[in-house]
Amino acid sequence: MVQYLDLRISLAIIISLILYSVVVPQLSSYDPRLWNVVPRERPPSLQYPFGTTSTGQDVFVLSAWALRNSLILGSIAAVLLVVIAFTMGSIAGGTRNTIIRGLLTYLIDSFCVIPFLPILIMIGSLWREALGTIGTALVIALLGWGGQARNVRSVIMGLRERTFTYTAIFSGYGVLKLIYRSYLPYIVRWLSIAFLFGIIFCIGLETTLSVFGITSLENPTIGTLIFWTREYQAYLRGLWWWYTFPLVLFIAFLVAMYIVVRRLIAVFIEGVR
Amino acid sequence: MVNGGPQKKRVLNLAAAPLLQNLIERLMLLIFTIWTGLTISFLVTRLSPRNPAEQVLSRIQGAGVFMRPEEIEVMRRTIMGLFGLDKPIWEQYFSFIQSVFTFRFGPSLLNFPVAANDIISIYMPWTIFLLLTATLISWIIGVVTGIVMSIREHKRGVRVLEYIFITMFPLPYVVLAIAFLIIFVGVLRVYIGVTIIPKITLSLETLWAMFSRAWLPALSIIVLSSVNWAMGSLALARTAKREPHVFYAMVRGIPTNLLLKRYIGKNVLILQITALALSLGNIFGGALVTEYIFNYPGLGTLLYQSIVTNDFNTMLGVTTYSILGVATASFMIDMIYPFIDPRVRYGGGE
Repeated sequence: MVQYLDLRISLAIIISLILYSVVVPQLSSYDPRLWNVVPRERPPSLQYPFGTTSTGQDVFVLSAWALRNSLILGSIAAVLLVVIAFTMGSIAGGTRNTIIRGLLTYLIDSFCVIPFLPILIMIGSLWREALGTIGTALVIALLGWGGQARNVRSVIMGLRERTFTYTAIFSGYGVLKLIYRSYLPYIVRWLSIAFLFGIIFCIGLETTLSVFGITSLENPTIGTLIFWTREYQAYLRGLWWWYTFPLVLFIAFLVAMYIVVRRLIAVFIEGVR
Repeated sequence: MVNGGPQKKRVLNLAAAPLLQNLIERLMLLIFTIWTGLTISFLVTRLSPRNPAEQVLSRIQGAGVFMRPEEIEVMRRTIMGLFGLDKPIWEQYFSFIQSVFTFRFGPSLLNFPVAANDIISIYMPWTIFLLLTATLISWIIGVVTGIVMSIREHKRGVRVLEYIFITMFPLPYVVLAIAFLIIFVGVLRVYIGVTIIPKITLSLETLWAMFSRAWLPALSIIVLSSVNWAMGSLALARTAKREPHVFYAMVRGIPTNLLLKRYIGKNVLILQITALALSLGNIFGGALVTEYIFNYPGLGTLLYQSIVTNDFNTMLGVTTYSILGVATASFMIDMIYPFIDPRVRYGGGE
C-alpha cells in the first residue's frame, strides 16, 4: 500500500489539469473565444478529440480555456475572500475594545445568515456589463466571507487562551514576536486550507452564476460553457460530447482539490498521521 | 459558554439576569441581521442603472398607442408615483422598511398592476411543498447514514460509500442538477409534468399536480443534501467517538445498538437538529437554482424572472421573505439550544 495514495492521485490530477488548461490554449492557432472557426457539431474524432460545438468551437481547446478562466476567477475570489475574512475575523477575535468586537461579531454573524445567492444574482444581472472577471470575483468575496470570518474569529480567540501564549508572554516575547514566532506557523497552515477551500467555494458560485447567464458570456468559463449548451438544447439533440468532457474535467478537478483539502485538515489540524 | 467563568466586560451588563441579557443581545443581532440584509438588497435595486417605470412606459408605447409628448410626460410621472420612484432615495428607503412591516411591497412590474404580494402568495405553496419534503427526507436519510457509517467504519462497503460521498460533496449543486436533467430528460426521456399552474385547493388533485411536478427537482435536492448531511454527521460522530466516555463504552463492549442511540446518536442529533432548523428557515427564499433548472413554479423562479425584468417590488418582496425566514430561524435556534443541549448555559463568560 502506497502511503497517501489518494493524495498522490489527486495532486497528479490537479497538476495535469492545470498544465492542460495553460498549455492547450497556447498551442491553438486561434483565439479560443472566437466562434465558427471549426466545422459545427462534429462528434469526437482524431482531429477534434472532444468534438466541436454548435457555435463552431473545438471542445478540446474550449474546455481548456474555460477551465483556465474558472481557475483564475476562483483563485482571485478566494484570495480576496480569505483576506476579508481574515481581517474581520482576527480583529473581532483579537481586539480588547468591546464596542468594535461587538459590532464586528454582529456583522460577521449577519453575513453568515444573509441569503447571498439572490443578492449575488441581483448584482450580477443588474451590472453584468460593468463586472469583468475581477469585479465578479470581488462581489463573490464581498458577500461570501461570513463563514470563514467566523472560523478565524474562533481560531484567534482560542489561540489567545492557549497555554503557550501565556508562556511566551511571561518569557518576555513582544506582541510582534509572539505573532511571528508562535501564531504565524499555526495560522499559515490554517490559511492555506481556507484558501484551497475558498477556491472550491468560489468556483462553485461562479459556475452557478454563469449557468444563469448573468456573468460576462464572451470569455468562457465552465459555467458559461454549460449556459451555452442549455441555450442550444445540446441535451435533447444528443450532442453529448459538448457537455460531457468539460463537466468530467471540472468534476475531476473539484474532487481532487477537495481530497487534498481533507488530507491537509487531517494532517495539519487534527494531527492524524 | 460554561457558567462560572470570569466575568468579562460585555456591551450590556445584566449580571443578575443572564437569560434576559442573552435574549436582548440576541434580539439586537436579529434586528441587525434583518436590517443589513434588507439594506443591501434595497441599495442593489436602487443603485442599478435600470428604471422599471421607463420599462412599463415603453411597453405601453410599444403596444402602438399614439400619445403626445406632454401625455407621455404625465404618464411617466403617474407611473413613477405608483412605484414610489419620484421621491428622494431616503424617503423610498423608509417606505421600503415600512413595507416590510406590513408585507405590502407595491405593484409588480411583470404583472402590472397586481400587487407583488399577491403574486408571491401564488408561488409560495409550491416552494414550501418542494423544499419542506426534500429537506426533511434528506435530513433523515443523511443523519442516519452518517451515524451508522461512523460505527461500522472499517467495513469495506462503508469506505467505498465514503469515497462516493467525497466525490459528490465538493460539486456545486448546479452541476448535479444539470446531470439529473441530462439523465432523466435527455437520456431516459421522462415526462416531468405540466407547465400550467393549477389553482391551489386543499384536494388530492392539487397534491398530485404538485407531486408530479416536484419529484424530479426534489430527488436532485435529496441526493446532494443527503450527502451533505451524511458527511456532517459522520464528522460529528467521529469527534463524538473520540470522547472518553464513548471510548470507555466501546471498550466495555456495550451493544452496537445502544452505542448508536445513546452515546453517538444523541451527540450528533443535538447539532444536526439546529442545522435542520436553519435550513428550514431557508425555505422561504425558494430554491433559486433548482427551480430555475427544472423550470419549477416557485419563489426562486419568480425571483429570477423579477430580476431579469427589473421588477424591483417583487424582487425585494421575495428577498425580504427569505431574509426574515433565515434570520428568525437562527434566532429561534439560539434561544431553544440550551433546552436541547444541557451543556450550554446562558450568561457567564464567553
